[in-house]
Amino acid sequence: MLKLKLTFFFVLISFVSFLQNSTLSGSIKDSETGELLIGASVFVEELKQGISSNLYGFYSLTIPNGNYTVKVSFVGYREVVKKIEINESQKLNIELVPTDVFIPIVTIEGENEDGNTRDTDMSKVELDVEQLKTLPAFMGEVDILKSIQLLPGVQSSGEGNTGFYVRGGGPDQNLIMLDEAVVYNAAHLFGFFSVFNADAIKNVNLVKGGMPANYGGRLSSVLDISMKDGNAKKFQADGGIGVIASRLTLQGPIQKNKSSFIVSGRRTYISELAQPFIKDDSPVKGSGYYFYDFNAKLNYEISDKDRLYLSGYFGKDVFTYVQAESGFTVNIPWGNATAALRWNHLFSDKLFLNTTAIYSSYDFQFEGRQEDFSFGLYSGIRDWNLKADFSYYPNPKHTIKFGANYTYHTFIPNNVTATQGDTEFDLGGAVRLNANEGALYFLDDVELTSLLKMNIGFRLSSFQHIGPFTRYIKDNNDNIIETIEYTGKKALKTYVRPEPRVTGRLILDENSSFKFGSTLNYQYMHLVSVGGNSLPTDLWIPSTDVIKPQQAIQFNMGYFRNFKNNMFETSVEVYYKDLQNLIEFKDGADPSDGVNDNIDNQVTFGDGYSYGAELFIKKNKGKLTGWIGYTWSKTFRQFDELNNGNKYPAKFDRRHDLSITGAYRLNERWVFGAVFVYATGNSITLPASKYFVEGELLVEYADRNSYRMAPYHRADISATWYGKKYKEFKNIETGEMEQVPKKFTSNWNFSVFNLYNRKNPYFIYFDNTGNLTQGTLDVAAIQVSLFPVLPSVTWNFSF
Amino acid sequence: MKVTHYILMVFISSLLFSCEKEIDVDLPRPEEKLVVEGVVETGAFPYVVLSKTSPYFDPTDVEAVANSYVSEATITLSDGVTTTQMTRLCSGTLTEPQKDQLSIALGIPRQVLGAYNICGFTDLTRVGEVGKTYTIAITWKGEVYESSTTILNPVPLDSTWFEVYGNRDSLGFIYANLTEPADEINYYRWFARRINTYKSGPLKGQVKDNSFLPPTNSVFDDEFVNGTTFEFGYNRPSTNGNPDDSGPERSLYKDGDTVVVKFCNIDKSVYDFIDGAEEQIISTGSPFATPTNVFSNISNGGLGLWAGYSPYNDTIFCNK
Repeated sequence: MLKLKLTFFFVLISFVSFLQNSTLSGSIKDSETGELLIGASVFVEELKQGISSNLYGFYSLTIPNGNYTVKVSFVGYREVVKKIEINESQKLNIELVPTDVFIPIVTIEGENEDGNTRDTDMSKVELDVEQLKTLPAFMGEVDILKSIQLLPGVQSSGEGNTGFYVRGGGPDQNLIMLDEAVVYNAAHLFGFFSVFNADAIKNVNLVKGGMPANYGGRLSSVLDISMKDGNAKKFQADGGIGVIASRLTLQGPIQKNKSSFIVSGRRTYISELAQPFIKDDSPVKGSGYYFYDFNAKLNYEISDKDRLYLSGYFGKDVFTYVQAESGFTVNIPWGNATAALRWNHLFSDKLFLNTTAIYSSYDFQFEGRQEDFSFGLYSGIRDWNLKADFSYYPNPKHTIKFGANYTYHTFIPNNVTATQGDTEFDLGGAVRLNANEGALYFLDDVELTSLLKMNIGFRLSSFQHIGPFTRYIKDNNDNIIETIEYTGKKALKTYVRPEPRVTGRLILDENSSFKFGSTLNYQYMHLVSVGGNSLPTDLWIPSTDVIKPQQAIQFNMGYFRNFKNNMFETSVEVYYKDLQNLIEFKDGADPSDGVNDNIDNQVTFGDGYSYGAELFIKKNKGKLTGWIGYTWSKTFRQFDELNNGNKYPAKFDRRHDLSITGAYRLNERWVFGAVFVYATGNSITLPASKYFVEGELLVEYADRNSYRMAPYHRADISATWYGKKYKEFKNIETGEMEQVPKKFTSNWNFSVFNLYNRKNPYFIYFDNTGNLTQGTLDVAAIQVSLFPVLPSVTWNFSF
Repeated sequence: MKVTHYILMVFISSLLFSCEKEIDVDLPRPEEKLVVEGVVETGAFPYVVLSKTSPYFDPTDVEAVANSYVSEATITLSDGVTTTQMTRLCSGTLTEPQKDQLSIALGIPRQVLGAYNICGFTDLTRVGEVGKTYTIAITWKGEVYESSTTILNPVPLDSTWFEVYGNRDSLGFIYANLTEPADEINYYRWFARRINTYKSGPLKGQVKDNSFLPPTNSVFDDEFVNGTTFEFGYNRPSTNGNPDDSGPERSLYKDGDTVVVKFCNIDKSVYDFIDGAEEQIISTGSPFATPTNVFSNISNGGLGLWAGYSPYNDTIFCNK
């Protein structure tokens, strides 16, 4: 027996040494801008094996020595085919030429061939920002978050809203990251615009199920957004002038091919434009609103092995309200700030490290003033985050990732101040909650057989609520029965949770595969919202001894098939998701009241589940491109203290959700786009009965979310007209006409939102007319719709 | 959060292109629930008026209102020592001026009191006393509904006065100074009543307010002010239909008014009901508010309030 084993061992050793592997590695860049390309495919024809470049454009492939044909391809770029002989490890940096240098239009060519049927990733979508720009845009503002809502399994949270729900998860269960920094509130203008300025964005990656172990901290999805690094070859300016906002992006090399910068800004001016039309005697004269965004990034290639990135985002919304008659003024600023310093280091051609230090914050302020009385409210969250992520590519059968992540959180759920003249009211001062969050992970994306590939991962996460902290223990009558004061950085409650994650892919035939996944996730931070909509007033609060971490178990599987030489990608996925320890405010909670109380005394806990099926058909090639996404799903919640403990449909429980998008390239100058969406109406709670006390009409509500608003549907269209990208002139020597790229190019985008003027329900309110004491009282339900047919035009330029 | 909701509403409706249409709402018929409106106040006869809920979108004409009152019930009242059965008093036995007063005090349409026999319950053998806890037990359709409330010690105001608001010649608010008791958790409710008569106009010669009225946000607690001496003010409560409830005099007192303020110490359940009701009145239908039923201190699923009031009264002659 022992002999047999030894023989086997020697055979194995000799087999390995006979193969003599070498490593091919390098980076993949855009030939025009020097921008690193994320997710580009490197494929070895002879071995039928390949890999995608990582978040930093790096790839590494260890293969037996020999002669190979290597194909490098990426969406929107010409494929590069290289014959190479490999007998020792070598660097191969590749620059891909964008197709639109030759054809002034976005096409999807040379896509990571068969990527959707070959990868273990499932329920994952990568969006090409340039492609999104040809779709109709609301008020002319290209919006990444709204495009994401057009994908199956992702639901919009309402008319014109950038908030989204993934597979029955709440809006706080999406991890939204900009250059690895968490963005806590991704919405401007109460959700009508997202904070992401499309001009500064390189890549958008959405994971809605089967979350790999390198991501964590949220239950439902990951939206990983990468900012552009900046043109490393030449100075470039891009901008746009739209109906409500203008944008300008500047980028260029600091040292050519070594370091570059990008700065990008956007600001609205709707309020300034509207000001002259508001009459002087209007009660709201002097009120206004604006938002702005600022993105900046620097990167420096220290050597072949080291690269530094410094990136930041700063954005703010400011709303002012003036009621001239009463002298009442309100100022409400809110916004995010993030900064990330990253260091990429190559230990070897097989081991890649990214280390990141991140600061992220979100603040909301409210300042009201009337005569000598002033009232202020402040809430926010602040993170300091350090992480290290390793990628190890031992051979094409394994991609191993491991790393560690630590965050120090400060939560300020409420800080209320009030003064009258010189008197300052004692409102308890700022309430702060501090926490440590950490995680370790390991995953192996392993090809077990030529047909079966699995991504097996494990994440160990932990969370610690630490002092100083004052705990108020209350009885059922809301009276304080005990106050406990914790000082110092003492750990008050620690959670450690294992999170196993498995996904797999089984190849069925050349064009199709079956994928499956099962994941367990924990989330230690919770967003509680007073209203049904996502609002800037929503509060982030940590897990404490009262609030347990949210938990999600998801099972999903799908069938993926490509047709006509990958012209059509199709998939059907089904999922079941079980959610526990969800959180809502108790009925009648007042989160601004933080005096002698803990915010977690005002919340209540429950569970939920969601299941559904998603269908996706995408056409990648040809003059007409686009997709159809359809989702059938059911989502329920159950809270002991809400709705008498009975389960109820979630607000965003949506039986049917359909999106159709299309872009048609007529010729080099004209591209037409269209979007159609249909969704089952939101479920809301309406009054069932009325009664009178002291002559006032009061209501008793029907079961929670028992009423469905009318279905939501809408069509948008757009046309983009591209200015000539080339100058023609006669070559004097040859006498032939030649084309030279123009330095200044521009395009006009014309969009019509809500083409057939559908009056989609936004909310329903009740109008009381008449008078009870005269016996003439009448109540009517009024449905409010926000946006009628809205045309817009945007002019974009680049030089 | 109330303020924020208001602002958001104003914002949404002023800057965007919203459009509205009336829709039919089809909801299952809700079951009827008992609604209690009862008061026991220092020195006054306790009373209870019973009604029941009706479907929200049903018309509220005179007949519907009249049919919503409940007369067929029995109520016992106990102060822990004495238990009595409350007597039923019906509007048919009242004089016309009494009906006027009752209509205003309870918000019952005057036509209803004229045309229908609406009954309430009272106990003419006793009046509310400070320090006592009063429990009612209502038997209706075989079910028993109970509630308790306490008449607490009155808390006096240090002073009260009238002050002209801004540049409004002769119009203003009523202000008060309160030294808040430090060693207890208190809840308060403010009522006011103008007892002078109209000097001109269609109501000439009539008393301006027929009863004590609560302004908006009529309740507050001592959470932020416990143990301090502070100043606060209230606008003038409105009654639907008075000529000065619209136009420049709206919400303001006028030079020459005589105002009686009734400042009541109340228990937590009264505060919770009034606070919840006032919040619901402004937020029903708001997309930024969570639909919330009003707290009630009636057991067994009953709605409404059994309220004990401990008033401190003060009279203000408004002189600028």
